[in-house]
Amino acid sequence: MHIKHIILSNFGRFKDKEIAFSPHLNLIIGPNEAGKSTLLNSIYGIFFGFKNMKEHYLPWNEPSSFKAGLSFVHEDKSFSLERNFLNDEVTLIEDKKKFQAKISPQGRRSERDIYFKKVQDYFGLSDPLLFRKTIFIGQNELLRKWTEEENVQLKSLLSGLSEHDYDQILNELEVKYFQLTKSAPNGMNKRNNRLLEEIQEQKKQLEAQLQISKETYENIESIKHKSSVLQEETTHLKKESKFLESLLPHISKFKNLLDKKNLLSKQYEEKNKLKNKSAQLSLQYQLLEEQSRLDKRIFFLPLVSLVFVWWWPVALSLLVATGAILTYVVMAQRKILNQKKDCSHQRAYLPTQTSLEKDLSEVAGQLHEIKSEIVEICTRYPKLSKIDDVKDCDILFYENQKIFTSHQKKIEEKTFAMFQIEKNMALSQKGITPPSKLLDDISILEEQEKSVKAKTQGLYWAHKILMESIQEYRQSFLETLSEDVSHLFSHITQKHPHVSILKDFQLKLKNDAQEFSSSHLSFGAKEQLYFALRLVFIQKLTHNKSLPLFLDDPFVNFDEHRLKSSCDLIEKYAQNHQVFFVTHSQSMINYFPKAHLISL
Amino acid sequence: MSKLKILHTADNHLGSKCSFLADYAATRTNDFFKAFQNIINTAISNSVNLFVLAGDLFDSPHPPLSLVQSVKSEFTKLKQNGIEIALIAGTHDDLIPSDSVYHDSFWDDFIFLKDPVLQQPHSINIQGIPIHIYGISYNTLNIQNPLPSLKRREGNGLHLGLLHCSIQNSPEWNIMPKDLPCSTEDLFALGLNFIGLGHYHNYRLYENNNAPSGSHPLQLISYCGSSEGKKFHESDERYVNVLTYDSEKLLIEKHPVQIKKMRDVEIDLLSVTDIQHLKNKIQEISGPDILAKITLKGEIDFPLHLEPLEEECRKDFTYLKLVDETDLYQKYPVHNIEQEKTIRGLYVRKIQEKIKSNPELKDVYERALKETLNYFAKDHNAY
Repeated sequence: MHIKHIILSNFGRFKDKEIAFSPHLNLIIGPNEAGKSTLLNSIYGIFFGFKNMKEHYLPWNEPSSFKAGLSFVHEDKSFSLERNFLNDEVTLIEDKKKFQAKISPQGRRSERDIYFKKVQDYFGLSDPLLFRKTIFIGQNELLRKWTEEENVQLKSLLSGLSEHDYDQILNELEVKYFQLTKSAPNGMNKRNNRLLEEIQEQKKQLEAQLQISKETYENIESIKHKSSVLQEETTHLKKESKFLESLLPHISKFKNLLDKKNLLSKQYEEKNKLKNKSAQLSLQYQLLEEQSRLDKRIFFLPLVSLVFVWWWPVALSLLVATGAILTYVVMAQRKILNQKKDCSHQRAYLPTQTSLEKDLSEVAGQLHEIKSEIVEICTRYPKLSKIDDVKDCDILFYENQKIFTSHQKKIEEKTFAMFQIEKNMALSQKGITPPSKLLDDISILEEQEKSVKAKTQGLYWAHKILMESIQEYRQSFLETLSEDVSHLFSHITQKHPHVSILKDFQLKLKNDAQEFSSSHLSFGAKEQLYFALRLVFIQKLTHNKSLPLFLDDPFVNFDEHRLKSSCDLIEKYAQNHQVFFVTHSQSMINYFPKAHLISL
Repeated sequence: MSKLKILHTADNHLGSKCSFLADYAATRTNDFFKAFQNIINTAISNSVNLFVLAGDLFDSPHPPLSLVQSVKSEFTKLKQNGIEIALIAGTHDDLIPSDSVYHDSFWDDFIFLKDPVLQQPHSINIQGIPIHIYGISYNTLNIQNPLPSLKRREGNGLHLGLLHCSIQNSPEWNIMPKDLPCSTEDLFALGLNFIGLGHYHNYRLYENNNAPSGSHPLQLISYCGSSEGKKFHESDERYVNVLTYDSEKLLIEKHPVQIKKMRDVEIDLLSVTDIQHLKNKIQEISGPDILAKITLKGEIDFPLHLEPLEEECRKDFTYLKLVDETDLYQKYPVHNIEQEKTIRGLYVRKIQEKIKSNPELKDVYERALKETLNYFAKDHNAY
């Protein structure tokens, strides 16, 4: 930032005084009591107000009006700031936006906080004390000792605002981390779930779902297999039962047929026997008839002896012989007759041949029918073909009936089991999401998780390493500052002692292995040493800000050579910053030939 | 002889949630339905005779009831226009769940090939042309290869197949689930005139150059692709196939149907001079119907603050996601900062030490550096 001009309406000895400034070096020259320090302090006062010095700058002639204002440029924007020192009312105008409030150094109002936040933005600091200890070097202030509290403030300021507001960066990293995860980088946990946890939770749920889905799908497969096995078994049992159901009556029928067959076979046999006997009797009768027919001719046989009457012995012999034969024949005839009678008698008790033949034919026909039926049944049920005993039929019937009953029971059990399986399958398949769909959803979440996790890890390590760096740097920053002060002090004095900054900002020097306190330096060298320290502070503060530097005749005790070196440093600084250098010495013009001269 | 027109669609994924699109996710679900409405209107305006769907109409077997009602009314429109409908289930909306959306009797009005193995093709006659529809609803439980059941049967007319499968060596083969894997040769060997495929989401058309001439017209197999991109890499145009068939030839043409376009783009920052140049490059990809993931790669010589850049460019897109994969060590201002005796200098050095001691965590530490570099560079540039 740089101040464009100041209007001292009523401030100290000034009334309606308007002064324009250069954005670089402004050399304010005037004799004693010309108001040089008043002018410099007015700038401080406009920004911060006066705590103890208000009376000192109260207008001499018109104490009822005590006002001053200035205009400045900050980050290419124009501002105007005016303070009424009587009531500390401040009016800040930024691009037609007006901020007006009572901002006293002691106040505690919320407007004060808003105002100093703005001042903090302009200068990088908002503490008036730190302002005076860094960019504002008043008369004889270089060697002023600071309180412990001031030292702590200055240390914090210098170590924290060197390049960036690192605390702010840490805070922003933390906020970003919180947006992604409920765990804080410092280990504290937030109550609400954040993006990473949400993704991980969703993924966890989907993975659990996938597990269930896969198991269910596998179960369905095994259940389907079980069900199909049961189905096959039931079908087989039903088929067997159906066969048995049809076999059992056929076994009964087979048994009856077998019974009938046996009976008819017996009948046939008997009838056949009768038939044979009848035939035999007929044959016998015929033979007897034939035998009885021959005998009648034989009665004439004795007559043959008559032929030999003349030869009576022969005739007698013949007669006797024929008589014997006749007797035999008669005897035989009588026997045949008896046999014929007997035969006729037997035949009388037997059915006729025709009737027997008819009966036999009937029985044979029935037997044939039964046999055909038996063959038919045996063709259908081959195991029956081996059975020819009705007792075996009973055994077979009993055994098969037992199997049939057992099958019926099994069918009932298996049908119930199948029903249960199907019921359970339907229940387990309800609401299930296919694994393919879940895998697809998980892959999308994994991609998201990968990206968020990478960012989270990045933020975690960024926060951790930056925090470590800040702590380490802050612990060692006095060493860094010491090196910078040594370098500047050498530049001013052309001597090369090593300067060490102590914790209370006291300075120690080391020269040729000999350490000595700054109090051993001459007054001028001491001022030069502390000027170098101030410049280092300012360099740190202005690393990324264009800050003005206020110098109220600080080099009065410097010899010419060191004055020249110090002025060179100021001129260099003024290339990028605004500098207000107040002096009574006209000779300073020679040291700052390019300066914007303001004579008072 | 009259001509027959068939519309082939698949992978509509109605009800898809797309949670990775954050605030746009809910609207994206609606985009999928709007694209489906486009398909229905395309079928009606092209006076198709047959509407075939090769699986994954829904993104899950249990879509919200309101969505199911809306889909039913769209199908009813087809019916009212005399369009026959044939479909199969997919891998996202399979028929296994006992409460699957497809167990509703509404679907019985259509030719729904629900069996995992085809018994007989469904034969219909449209405008005197016999059409034999082959297809199976793929079922992961089915261990039997269903392909032989789809072999062409005897009969004149058009033999048309529907299949939700993974063709080997397709560009998607390595990135998508390999459900029902098969080759184009396997499919051509079935002897069908056309097989409308589903499952892979980018458009693909395969012609059988060895198809026998004569009674079998040219054999074609096609993935029509999803009707809306589900992921950023599904960035091609989305289509449905419209087939025109007469006894002599089978013509196929694709009709765009999508509502919004997915883009997965890489920008190499080597050729980008400054942040404005980068903005212009992003602008070239932008559009009010574009959902884009833009990955920034390569070396960069200006500071890059991703989030505000994304915030600023997002207005030109439906959705924008910027991913920083730039080469960090070439990135401004690491080299400069590294030399500084400052907190950030110490920070950069510490990161480098960590990378050296734990090279397996290089990506994590580089990411950490990127997160902070944006802050370090903040004061030098708007980004």
